[in-house]
Amino acid sequence: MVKIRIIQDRCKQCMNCVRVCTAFDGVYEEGPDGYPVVARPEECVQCLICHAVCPSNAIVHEDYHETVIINPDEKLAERYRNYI
Amino acid sequence: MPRLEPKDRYTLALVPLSGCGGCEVQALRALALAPDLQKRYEVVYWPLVVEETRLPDEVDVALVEGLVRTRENLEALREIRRRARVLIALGSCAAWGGIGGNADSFNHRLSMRAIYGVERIEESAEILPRTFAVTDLVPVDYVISRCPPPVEHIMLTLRAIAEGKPVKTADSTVCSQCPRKMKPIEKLEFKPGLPGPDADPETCFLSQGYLCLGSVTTMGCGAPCTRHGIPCFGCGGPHHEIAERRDMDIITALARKIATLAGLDPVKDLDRVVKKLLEVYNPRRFYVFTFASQVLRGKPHGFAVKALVESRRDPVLRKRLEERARFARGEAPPPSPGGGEA
Ligand code: SF4
Ligand code: SF4
Ligand code: SF4
Ligand code: SF4
Ligand code: SF4
Repeated sequence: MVKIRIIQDRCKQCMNCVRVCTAFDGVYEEGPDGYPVVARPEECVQCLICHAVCPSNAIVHEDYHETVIINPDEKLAERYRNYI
Repeated sequence: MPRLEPKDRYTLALVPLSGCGGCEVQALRALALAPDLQKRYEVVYWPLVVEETRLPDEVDVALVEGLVRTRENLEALREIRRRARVLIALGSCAAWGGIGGNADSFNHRLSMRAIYGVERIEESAEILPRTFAVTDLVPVDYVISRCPPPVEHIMLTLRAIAEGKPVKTADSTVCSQCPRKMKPIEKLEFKPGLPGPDADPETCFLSQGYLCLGSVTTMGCGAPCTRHGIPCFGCGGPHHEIAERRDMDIITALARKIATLAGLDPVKDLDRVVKKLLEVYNPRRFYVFTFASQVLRGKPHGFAVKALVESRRDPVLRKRLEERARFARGEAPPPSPGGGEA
């Protein structure tokens, strides 16, 4: 599961992340100290729009899902050349 | 990251192009304040500091200040790139074109007439038809941005290079060092000009409807401007993601943040917010320090190019220059000082 961290030193407490989150139930909530808390990280769809609207780059997504697109190497591709 | 072979002492050059000298002074202060750097670097070329008038054949580290405005600048830049192992673009002019890049708003022949009364002075440098940032013309190893860059940034860069270590960088924006409190924007309306005495000193300028580039400008200055009642004009240069990503531009990145602060959708309402911004502010207001930068001019939506075209066609700017040109020829009284603009 993706880990989301708010770097509080940088955070402006603007709540843009709370407002923008595209997850159905919202990943963030406004905490009692005025900083956002990551309440439901499991909801995150990794759209990263929260990064785009954060004024101070205070949000870090760790270990998020990366997709590897496999391309055969050239030698392997060569073997398929005369098929079909 | 280019690595120098380990040595006790490296040679250092500073090549001034068309800049104001402010970055040079900062570099001089950095060396003056750091005895360890004086031990590690030997200045072999730097017109302000040593007498040598020719560029050295080889140099370990070269700092370049200013933008490329003349053919002489262009040649000096190409030469120093060939001869330097590590090239550092020092200051916003070298990095993004800086303030000097705004010269692209004017026909350079008219500028010459306005200042000197003639289009060309014998033996003076040949002015190029447009300005360039250093980073647009040659590969650059490091950029120390800002106008001028803080002394510590120069120190720690030179120190890291001498020690063969990577230079530490932070990836936040000016907002993170600004003490002003960000609040939701109640009504999406922008105020032209600069904040007056009635502006709240503790609240973020964006929240009050004033333009501030803090959230799209790279951190490092400590936000001195916003602490003193002036919005950030972006002298540090755009945040590195904006510079690196083709799909991001200063104006759109800012508009997304503003939209969300105003409770709008940063994607659906983006065009609306951009349009509102451009209704109130001249597009060049977003590119004060990046006006000449090819990085910004190459962005797909072309806002920086729009800023360039609008400035070049601006009848007010042209009229002022023509008035000055007549004054320079002794045909008219001194032109009235220019008025403010949004
Ligand atoms: S990446 Fe998208 S879904 Fe995940 S926290 Fe950010 S806005 Fe919400
Ligand atoms: S958007 Fe960024 S600055 Fe604003 S509350 Fe969220 S983490 Fe903090
Ligand atoms: S970046 Fe600023 S201080 Fe440096 S040369 Fe340009 S105008 Fe001068
Ligand atoms: S937008 Fe400007 S005033 Fe607001 S927090 Fe950022 S730097 Fe400060
Ligand atoms: S607040 Fe903005 S304009 Fe002022 S020094 Fe910092 S980056 Fe430059």
